[in-house]
Amino acid sequence: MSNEWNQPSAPPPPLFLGKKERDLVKQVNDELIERVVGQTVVYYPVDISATNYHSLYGEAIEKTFLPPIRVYALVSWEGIQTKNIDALGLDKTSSISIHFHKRRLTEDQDLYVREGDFVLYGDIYYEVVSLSEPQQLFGQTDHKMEITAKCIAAREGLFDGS
Amino acid sequence: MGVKSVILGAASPSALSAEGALQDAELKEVTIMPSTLETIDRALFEWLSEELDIFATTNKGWKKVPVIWAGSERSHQIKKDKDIRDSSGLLKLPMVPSPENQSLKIQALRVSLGLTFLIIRI
Repeated sequence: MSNEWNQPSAPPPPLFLGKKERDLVKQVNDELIERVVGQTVVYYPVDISATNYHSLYGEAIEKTFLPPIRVYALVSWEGIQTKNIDALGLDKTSSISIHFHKRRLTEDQDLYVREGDFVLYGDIYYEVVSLSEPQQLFGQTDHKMEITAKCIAAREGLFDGS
Repeated sequence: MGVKSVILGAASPSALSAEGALQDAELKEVTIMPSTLETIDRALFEWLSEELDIFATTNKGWKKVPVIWAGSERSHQIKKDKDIRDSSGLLKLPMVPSPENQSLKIQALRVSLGLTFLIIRI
């Protein structure tokens, strides 16, 4: 056996922040979200190829969606509020924030959250209006921790998943 | 898709008599193209996109400036035209937004809401 020292071709990974630690974080979060918190939403991805959008306005009266998927996530309920529209009178608005576990979604459920998709939470349909990815895992740029989706209630004329 | 209507051409003086009214009048079939809120919006959009045909010098070279309809649904904006965004989802500028707020469709909607009046300037 040669006693010659060989230099590795690539530098070693961070000592305690490698794949095993990231997998541990994923496992802990999976269990926390699914077995402790237990909140679920039903996610309706809009099928862009099958939906008949207006060629100019980009609007579709009837939307076609891919098979809905049950997703465990942390949901912040922001309530139902009364809003006054000048010409129409009283209206109601409702919004929620959904914190998805990114790796659970993309790796295990093959689901990608996009603006304009719809979710069912309780008995109200919501539209995803904005997304953010506020946290990196261990400060590593390639590993985002969560996806936060801001959603507002969708009117019946906009989407009906029933 | 036009609307066909029959109109009377110029009639001779004899045709205007009581007996022979309309006898000599020339009948012509004229196709009148529809003029709706949608066709006017589309005409404006195509005028911006195709007639003006704006180009700009960018760091990727001499490129046509895309014209986008800014008021489409979110899913359509995100999923349909992927070429107008980079891999991070940022819009690639320069870009001309269609005057969605000034479109007849939106203004007609405002009329229905009682917020403003539809004004058509000729």
